[in-house]
Amino acid sequence: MPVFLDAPQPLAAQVAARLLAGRQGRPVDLSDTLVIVSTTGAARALRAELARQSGGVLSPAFRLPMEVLVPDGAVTASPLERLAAWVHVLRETPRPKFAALVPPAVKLSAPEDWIGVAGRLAAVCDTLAEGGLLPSDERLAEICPQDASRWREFGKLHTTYRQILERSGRADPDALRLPQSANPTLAPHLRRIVVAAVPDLPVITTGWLGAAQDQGVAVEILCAAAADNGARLDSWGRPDPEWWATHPVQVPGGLLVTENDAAGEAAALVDFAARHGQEGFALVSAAPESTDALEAELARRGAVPYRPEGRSLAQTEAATILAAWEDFLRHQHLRTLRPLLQLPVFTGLLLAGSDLGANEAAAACDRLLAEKLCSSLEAARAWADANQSSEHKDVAQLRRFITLLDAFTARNLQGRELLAALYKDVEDDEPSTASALESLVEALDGTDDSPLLRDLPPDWQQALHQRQIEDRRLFTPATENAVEILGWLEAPWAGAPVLCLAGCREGALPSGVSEDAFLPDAVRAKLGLASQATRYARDAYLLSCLIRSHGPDRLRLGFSRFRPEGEPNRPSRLLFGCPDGELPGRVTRIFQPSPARPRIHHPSPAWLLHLGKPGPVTTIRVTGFKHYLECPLRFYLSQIEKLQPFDPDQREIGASDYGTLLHRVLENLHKDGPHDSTDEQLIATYLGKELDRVVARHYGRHPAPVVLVQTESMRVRLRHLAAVQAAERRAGWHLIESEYAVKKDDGFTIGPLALTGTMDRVETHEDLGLRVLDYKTFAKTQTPEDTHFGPPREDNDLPEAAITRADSRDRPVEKSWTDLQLPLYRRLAAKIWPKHAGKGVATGYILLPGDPDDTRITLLDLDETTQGVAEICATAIAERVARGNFWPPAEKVKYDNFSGWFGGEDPRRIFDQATITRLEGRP
Amino acid sequence: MKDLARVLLIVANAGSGKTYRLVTRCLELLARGEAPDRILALTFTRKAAAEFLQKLFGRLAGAADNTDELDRLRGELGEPGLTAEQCRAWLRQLTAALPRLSMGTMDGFFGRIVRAFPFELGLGREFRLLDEAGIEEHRRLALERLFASAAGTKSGLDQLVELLRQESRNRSDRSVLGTIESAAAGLQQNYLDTPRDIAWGDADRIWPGHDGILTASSVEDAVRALREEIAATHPDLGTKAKAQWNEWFDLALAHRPPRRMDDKLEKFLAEKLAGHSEDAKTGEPYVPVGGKAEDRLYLRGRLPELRGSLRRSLIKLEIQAKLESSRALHTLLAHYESVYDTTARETGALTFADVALFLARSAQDPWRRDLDYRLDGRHDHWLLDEFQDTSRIQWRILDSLADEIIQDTSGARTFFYVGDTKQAIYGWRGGDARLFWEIQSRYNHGQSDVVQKEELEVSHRSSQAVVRTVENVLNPETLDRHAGDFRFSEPTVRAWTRAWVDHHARPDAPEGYACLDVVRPADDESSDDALSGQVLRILREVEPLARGLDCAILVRTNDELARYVGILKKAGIPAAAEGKVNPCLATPAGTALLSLIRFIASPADLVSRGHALASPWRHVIGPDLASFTAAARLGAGAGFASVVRGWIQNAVTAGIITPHELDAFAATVSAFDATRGGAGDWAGLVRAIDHRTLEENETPGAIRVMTVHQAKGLGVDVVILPELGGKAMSEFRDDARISLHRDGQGTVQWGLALPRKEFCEADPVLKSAREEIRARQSYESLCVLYVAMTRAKKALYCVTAAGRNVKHAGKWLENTFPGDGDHRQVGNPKWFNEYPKTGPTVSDLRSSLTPHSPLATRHTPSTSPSRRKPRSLESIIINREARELGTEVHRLLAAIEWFDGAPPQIPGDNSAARTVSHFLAMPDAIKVFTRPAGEFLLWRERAYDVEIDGEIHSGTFDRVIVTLKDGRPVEAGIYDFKTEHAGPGLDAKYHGQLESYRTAAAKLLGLDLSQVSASAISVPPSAQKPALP
Repeated sequence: MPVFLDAPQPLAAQVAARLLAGRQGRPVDLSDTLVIVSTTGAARALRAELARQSGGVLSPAFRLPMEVLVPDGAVTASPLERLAAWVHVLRETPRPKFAALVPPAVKLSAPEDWIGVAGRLAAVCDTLAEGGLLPSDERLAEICPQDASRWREFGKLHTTYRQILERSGRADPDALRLPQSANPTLAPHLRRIVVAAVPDLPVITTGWLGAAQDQGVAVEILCAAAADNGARLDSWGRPDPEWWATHPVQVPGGLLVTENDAAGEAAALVDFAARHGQEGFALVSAAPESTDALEAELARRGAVPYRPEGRSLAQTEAATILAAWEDFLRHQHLRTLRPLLQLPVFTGLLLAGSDLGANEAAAACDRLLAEKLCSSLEAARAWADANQSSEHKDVAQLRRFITLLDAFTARNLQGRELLAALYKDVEDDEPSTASALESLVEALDGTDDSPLLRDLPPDWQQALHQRQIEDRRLFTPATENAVEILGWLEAPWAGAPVLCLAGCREGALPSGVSEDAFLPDAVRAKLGLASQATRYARDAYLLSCLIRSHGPDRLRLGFSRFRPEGEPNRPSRLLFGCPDGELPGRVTRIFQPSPARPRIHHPSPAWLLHLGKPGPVTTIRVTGFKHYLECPLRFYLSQIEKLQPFDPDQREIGASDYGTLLHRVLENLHKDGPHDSTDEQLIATYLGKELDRVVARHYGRHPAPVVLVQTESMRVRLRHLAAVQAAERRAGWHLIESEYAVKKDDGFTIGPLALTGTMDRVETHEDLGLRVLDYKTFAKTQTPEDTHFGPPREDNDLPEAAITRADSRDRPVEKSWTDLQLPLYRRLAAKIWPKHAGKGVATGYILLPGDPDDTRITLLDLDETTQGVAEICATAIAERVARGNFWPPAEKVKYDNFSGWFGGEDPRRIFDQATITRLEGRP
Repeated sequence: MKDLARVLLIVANAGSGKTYRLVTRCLELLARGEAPDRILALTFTRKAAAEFLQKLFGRLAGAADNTDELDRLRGELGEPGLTAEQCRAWLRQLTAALPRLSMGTMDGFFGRIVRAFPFELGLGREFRLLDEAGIEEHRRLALERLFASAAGTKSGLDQLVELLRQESRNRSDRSVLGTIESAAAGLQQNYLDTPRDIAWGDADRIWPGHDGILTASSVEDAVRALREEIAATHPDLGTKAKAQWNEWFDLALAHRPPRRMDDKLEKFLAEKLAGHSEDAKTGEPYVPVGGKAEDRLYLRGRLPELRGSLRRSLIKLEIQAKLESSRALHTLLAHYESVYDTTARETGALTFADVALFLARSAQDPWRRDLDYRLDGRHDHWLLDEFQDTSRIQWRILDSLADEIIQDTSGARTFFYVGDTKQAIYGWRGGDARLFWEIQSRYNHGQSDVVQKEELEVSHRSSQAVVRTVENVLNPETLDRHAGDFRFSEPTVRAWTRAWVDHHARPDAPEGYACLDVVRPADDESSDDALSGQVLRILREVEPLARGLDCAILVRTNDELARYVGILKKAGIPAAAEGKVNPCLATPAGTALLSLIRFIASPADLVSRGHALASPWRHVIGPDLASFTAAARLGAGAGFASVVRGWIQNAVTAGIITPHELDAFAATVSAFDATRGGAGDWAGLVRAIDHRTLEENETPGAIRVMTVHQAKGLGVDVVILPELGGKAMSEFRDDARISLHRDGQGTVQWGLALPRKEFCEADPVLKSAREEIRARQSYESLCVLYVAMTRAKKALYCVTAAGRNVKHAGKWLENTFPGDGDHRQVGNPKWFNEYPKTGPTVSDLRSSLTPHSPLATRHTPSTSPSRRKPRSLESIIINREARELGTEVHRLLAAIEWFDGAPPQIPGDNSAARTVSHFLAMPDAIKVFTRPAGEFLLWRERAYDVEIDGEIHSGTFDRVIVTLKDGRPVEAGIYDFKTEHAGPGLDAKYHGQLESYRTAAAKLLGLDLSQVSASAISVPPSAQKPALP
């Protein structure tokens, strides 16, 4: 019969005292004892308590309930090998043989598909093992007639699975457990087995204990005392589901902490712990979201949270690098490489001996991906080949990065070799890194050694290896002052006087076993497996123990009404344990939402942006005026501070590069193409070939698929342009300059600034004079009239921008300049080519729009008066820029690269006064 | 006890207690002894699900505790004998059934089915629900694969280019990924709604058995015939007209779809081929060219027919182009969806829509018979809420299950659905209000009255004035009266009339207030400014926050929402954008922090870099950005949360931000660490922060600005409606790109990017399809107005700007609001004086939870530090064989008790066996394994736990010989085996470890430290087979 530990002491102290009872003198030797515990945390607590009570002890063995059934020294298959064995089974068995178990709807193609199914089957086997069952057990088909054919197929597959394991010299641990349950192999020195308050011993373990008793080993069942002394437990210390279902645990109302969300719940519980737990407190969480919230709350208060359940090995730095690098080696996708370039351990190795910094490497990778659209190393190499001769600084930097990466890839470092290289120079007393490496190396060993894995193709091995890493937890020791967040089953072992339990919701406390694809709750009880009823009984009993050990003043039970994603939580049934008269009040309290908390925290009044003093400005580009007219502040940021946006997720040719490519092609038309021809076909052919050449130069010989598609859209536009070109030539226009650059030193000024810019296309005509045209690749057709004139400005900040313009019916309309590009080209052209300009200078666009039928030349109607007004406006802007006046900003612009700066606020209100003063051009 | 209708349809006005009725139904079932877990109650939103549970438990609790509430419940259930004890018993029953209750969202219920039947649904791998960031990631991955596979071959590439050309009607757009991405995002629901064997743009399906407008002749033939007829009928036609008609004909002949029609040709089509003038004298119709009589083309002879024929020919071309682009779009989506299936769905990465899709596809599969078995429960009573929002796909999943219940005449099973088709505003996401009535018609055919109907007319939410106004503005008579002006079609009026139920306020409801202000913009003022000016005047007059009243401004679009939040903030009025908000970016500190993270993720992003450095974060960053970045990356090797929290903490300490300002930001980073955190994935972190949204519907202390869609289900004291968008209520909106035509059962028959109105009207099928869609859309615009107005509890302020000749909702109000003039009122204009000002109340509970720092001392017995010796990382990685050897050697040595003569034979021929055999022949082995004289104890591989100075030391001794005298320990020697070569420094190397063993052994044995010795014993690895002794 179980022994109830009912002294007013922590459970660990009582169990330890019981273990030490009768052990006199030195040394205290408990090595003849096996202690069965519910969690590793319980074992840790007990070992510490044994040491405290005895001063020192030769420790007993500690085992979890399912571990005791595997005899010492047995060569069992590791979890990875079991998975691999199931994969073999599935691969070797014709699909029709298990069509009921894994219906044809399940697509089995990638290794991960097979492993996914194998993993599910292995998990079912483990669950069955707790009830002493194997899938081949005939009772399954009898008890679950709806699923009889599935179980029969499962049973057959399981037989194959065991054969496969046996062939490899491994044993299935579940298959070993079954005979052990009836006839245990016990260590010769074992005299005593103590079950230390394990309220949910599996059926198979109770069988084993009974058999061990029969072999003469003393078995003691220790149980924590529940609040109700009449609490019913069976002879193995397991609460009787029927009894507990009808005897609710009485939970005083004062214990409840109910909040709307997990964050509020955590805050309230930690607050209670901090106020009442001066002699020690324990934080326990039954639900994962509560653990996260407690962790966040502790961190917010400056404490160091510790989660003894560890974290996934896959999330560690070493595992991340290993997985990503091996993936990179296989597929050479640069996107896989991106996160690696953020890790100093990796960049330390990759960039060793290079003058490239980590930031530069990361930026280079981003540029290759988003600007050059090289998704793979191969594409990057091809790009580098095509740009071998460029001496441009940015291009050279990208080439250096590619060379470096190439060389590093050639080393083909993998597995342990890679890890050894990475961590060679890293401090070797870092326990978490050491644990991660240890665990990873173990995982690698498993892949390398096992005959079950060796037979599989490398990508299958890799997938299994990755799966194993994902399944593994990494346990690192707590730091000195860490605050531990215990799991629910460890709550009875937390000896602290004050205990706060978070996450008292259904599904977590008690934990749910519903919606099982193989073992619905209805059949679990029949099969001797954990069910809703047994989980409830266990948790009711444990809660009762906590109430007894801590009393109403030192225990709090937290419940939050909503999950972080907004799903309503169901409160734990256990929270409703109260006299009937109190139930309505209890229900109201638990279900009634708390008043909403303000979500918006008012920002600190000190939060204002500050910009340093700009240097003197001496030049302005023709294209800059548009930006100033749109918004002086944004002009300052983009043109003076050179803050250019960059979208690392861009996966196709961006608007700017798209235009640049077309410009390049057309520039070459002038340089060495048939620009004097009137043969449309000839021009189109030339432009098409030139396009391919330019694209190859920009994106390498094997451009990304999307580039190929976009190139076709450019080709269409160029084909239509060829027709325009031929027609214009026939009309007498002769191309004399292309991409003509006006530089700072050329001596052209506007107000106090030097004027610079590039004219896309300059043409002459015997009768009509000079024409300066700008190529435009707008998505929708826009004429120079559309782009240069807008509605009158609402502000009076730039009176020089005002202009009167005639509408389509020749009526005067008040407008405002929105661009000055064409008037300024006109002015420059007149000065640069005075001879041709004598007969007039026209300016306009050659439109290469999305709709190729709209390809045409469209001129700006510009008389001398308007030209004069434009120059006055340009001069005014130049003077302002020279004075450093970049204020006031426009509240909104059409395409705002700086929207992130303003966060929806008026840009005039987010800068500090010193910055505003400076941006106003005041000293 | 009242009779319980077996199948009951509830038509419920807004605020009439739909949830209340649903809960009552649930209680009625309990009162009949039905087990709670036999009831399936489904609704759409998590909020509604929470409210349902809260009200169910709350009403029972109320009745159990309060006699008035008990009396009310008695009346409602028709159970005069109901006692508080009985209510408590039901509460017990309900709480006990909590884990088995099927009361939640429809999505949640579908998720349960998928979890129970993964294999049957084709999910071999574990499935996970994607968040927004995940959806975007998978979408992009699918696109990348799609392009890669297409570009693999020349023909594949050509086909893709051709499809894009066809889809865009011959445009050569720059962005190609964007085209497919937006189609994939925007048209997925339509694509999935379309049966697999149907392609969009399929003429045979649109015009089954005939070709509709496609039978029109070719343009060439039509032009030729018309030209000849003109020549024949108008031999004296003026020169100008002749030239003009020839030009038009040339344009028509030159038109090459899919190119878009030339403007001139379009004008010709609309004006010259469709319209006409009439001769003032004779009344004879003619087509003019200029003003001269000689240039008139009189519609004589076959001219009207041939003119129509050319028109039809031209329209045919347009429709053919639409058919082609629709087909291309469908093919593109089919390719994309097929790739997405492989890259996302088949890997178990699902959205809620995918879950529904999987279930809908398998709606008839035999496994569905096992639903009750796998879900551990049978649902005999169905309660479906907000039924008007159910989509066809969702209904396809539920239909057969529901049918089983409705057809069950045993009386043991019931079906109850409630909704309000006047609130059907989710058509854009698939909700199809027609289902609401279809079910009734389906089962009530003939004489049977299987589905009974109940109407809830009384508003429990709104004041008298608000209800009267709603009734006035939107009742079917009003609609009928104004339908012509607003171009509401007959089906719209009919559907609204069917949906309408008279509205009444509760007799004891307060008088309240409703008004309409028609503002007239000043000369220098825009309509928008005039509207917002009035909104501000209302707020200043009413001062809702100061009176403790909640107040919402309802708008149509997110842009409007942002604009009003800005206007209010500028006016110094606290405002909160509600609905889906990103809590991380609620303050400038958050946006700047995101910029900092963006820069670390992508150092080429100079805009983000500039932002971070311009912001007060620069004080946290310090003078050296490169070092800061390097430190951040180093710290994030083990996760991002500690790094980001460190910055936040520093910023709080420096007074840059307020203590809780970035709590949500930090929590998002922690969540990222917990769920997706891969070391180094700063870009992933950016995505997670960018996509973080909260459904925020309750912001105390602020004017709440939200869209009407977000407001659905809410009741607010004061509602202000500034016009509700500027679009005409009955305007056809081409917002779906592809219009789907369904049959009576809702099954899609065909899909087409409908051409514009004039073209559709040339074909009866298309005309009717367009009209049907327009009818549905205009119906929905009435629903939006209805939902918006009925949110108001106490007062409703409608504001509209005069002077715009658009038939929008504001104009509707102007035409239908009771009274005359620019300021119309219903109820008491000073209603708010009943609510005295108490000052703004912002309850910040969390701030009352004063942080305790440092935290109280901890007490956790399980964290006893066990002494760890530092390990060499290199040894961990490289010396695997050495470690394995060490383990095996220790096992072999532990098996040896004493030599008792010759060293024992070590079985095996592996390196461990050789090493041990070799060692056993060495002098050290003889020292260690020779049985000592006298009394002694031997420990082999013994674990220990010892307390020394309050710390717990744990470890395992390899071998200890304890000398005893009179049974008591007097001396101990510890041997620690090391599988490495002996050297002078071996003991020194392991000094710390050996000392630890000595201390532990001394404590265990009660000896003085001097009585315990410890030495490291070298067991050098041996590759050679040992020499035979």
